[in-house]
Amino acid sequence: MNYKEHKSEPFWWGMFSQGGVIAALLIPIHIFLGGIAVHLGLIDAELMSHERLTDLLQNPLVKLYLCVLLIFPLYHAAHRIRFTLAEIGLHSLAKILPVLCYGGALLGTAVVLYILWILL
Amino acid sequence: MMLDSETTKTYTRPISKAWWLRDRGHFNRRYFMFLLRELTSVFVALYVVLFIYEIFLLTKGPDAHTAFRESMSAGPWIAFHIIALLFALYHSYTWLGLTTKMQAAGRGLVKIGTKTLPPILIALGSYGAWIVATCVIAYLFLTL
Amino acid sequence: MSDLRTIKITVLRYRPEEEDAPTEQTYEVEFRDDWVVLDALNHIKDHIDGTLSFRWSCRMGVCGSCGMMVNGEPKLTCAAMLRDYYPNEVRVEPLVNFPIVRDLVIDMTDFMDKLKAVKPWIIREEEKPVSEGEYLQTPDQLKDYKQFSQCINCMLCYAACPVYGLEHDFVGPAAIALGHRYNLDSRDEGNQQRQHVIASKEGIWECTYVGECSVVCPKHVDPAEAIQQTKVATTTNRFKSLVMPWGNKK
Repeated sequence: MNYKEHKSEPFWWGMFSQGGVIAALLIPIHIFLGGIAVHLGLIDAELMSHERLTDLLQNPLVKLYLCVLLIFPLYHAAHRIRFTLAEIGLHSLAKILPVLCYGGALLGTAVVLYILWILL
Repeated sequence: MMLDSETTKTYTRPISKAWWLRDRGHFNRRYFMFLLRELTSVFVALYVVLFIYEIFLLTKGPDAHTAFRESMSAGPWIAFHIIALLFALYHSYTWLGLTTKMQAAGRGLVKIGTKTLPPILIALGSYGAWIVATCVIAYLFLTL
Repeated sequence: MSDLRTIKITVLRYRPEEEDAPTEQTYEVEFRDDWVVLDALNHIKDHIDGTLSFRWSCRMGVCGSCGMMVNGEPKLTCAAMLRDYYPNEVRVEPLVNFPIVRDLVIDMTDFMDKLKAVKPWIIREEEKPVSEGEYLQTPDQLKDYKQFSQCINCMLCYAACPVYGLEHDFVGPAAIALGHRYNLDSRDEGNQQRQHVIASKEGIWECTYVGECSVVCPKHVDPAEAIQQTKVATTTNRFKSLVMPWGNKK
């Protein structure tokens, strides 16, 4: 076996683990507030209204926060999905899966940046 | 003793395709929990994509966004969010526990001087960070 | 004096000159309360069926040669008490993920090659002459790697690892943990010579942290954490060298 240090895996793994931390710390409360609490009437529905949210998004710090919240977990998920698909039967696609998964995360990154800084 | 694999007739039992359910005749609960752990990322990704879609709708004006919000209040979508929340919490639990386990092995990750920091401090730090982050986000969201 | 009980032991048999695939054979063994699975196998070989083949040596959890699947879990058979399984039957199979040579004996060539590849010995850039004395180490420096040095090369972790089962090129838990052990040793200077193996595609990056290697390890080596720590260190160094390419690469 001829081993060679892999140069790009550390980069993807770094993004995966950053995303893992951010998803672990921040995602549950967001799901709870915007996806459950507001619909069960636990919090005021006005908090998720168009007027209120567009108002919040005027704040550049909120935009920056959303960048972190939405972009890093995409790489986290891309990495896990890449390996899990190979492990549950798509082993023969092990060469293409990174392109598809990380490609998806890169596309998602571009979409987030485009919406936050060009559309808004 | 080393074997000449060219001349020795060996037999290899291949791993099952669904090894996380049944591997060569046996069920291993930890393999199954591993797969659930990896599956959390799918729910994280779905939620993030939905979130991005909502911000996109914000740029389309109040009507489009209000309609989206109304559709989200339907039972199946609430159920989706509840399941996603459970998976997200399982991710938090496994992920934050991981740093503690890493600290507990060998040299650990964080050393102060010549001593490895006790893993319990890392556990308190990471689960504590979760509580603080959760409270701060909730507070800012409700009061900003 | 001690009452004997009878337990059913089903063993996977493979006799390459007679059959193309493994078969099963069940033995009934009278055992004493303090017997382990290996005792039962030796009893079978000595008194019931002399053709049964298996590896063993020390009988006390040190040599690492009696690893087998016991009811689907990789175990040192010298440490698996029969009374813990009784009255159920015990299934003994060779370690999975390895080619079977005969009955319960597996071919460990692949593991030996990988072990050698990580250079699990102290490497010095320049050896100092014996007259200058030994390389000294403080108790704290010893503690850094001691846990990872407990490996007895029993290969239970390879049998526990689905990643190795799916991808045989994976360097695997024990070999990486042992490489890590020497990288953490204050007397060692061989990090660079191991990095291309440990941080290769087939090395740490193949691992998805199932964690089963650490669960089955009879010596509590925790190879899963050794791999995670190496991933963190390698990633940190990679990002550092991207941000500060002029920095010391060591």
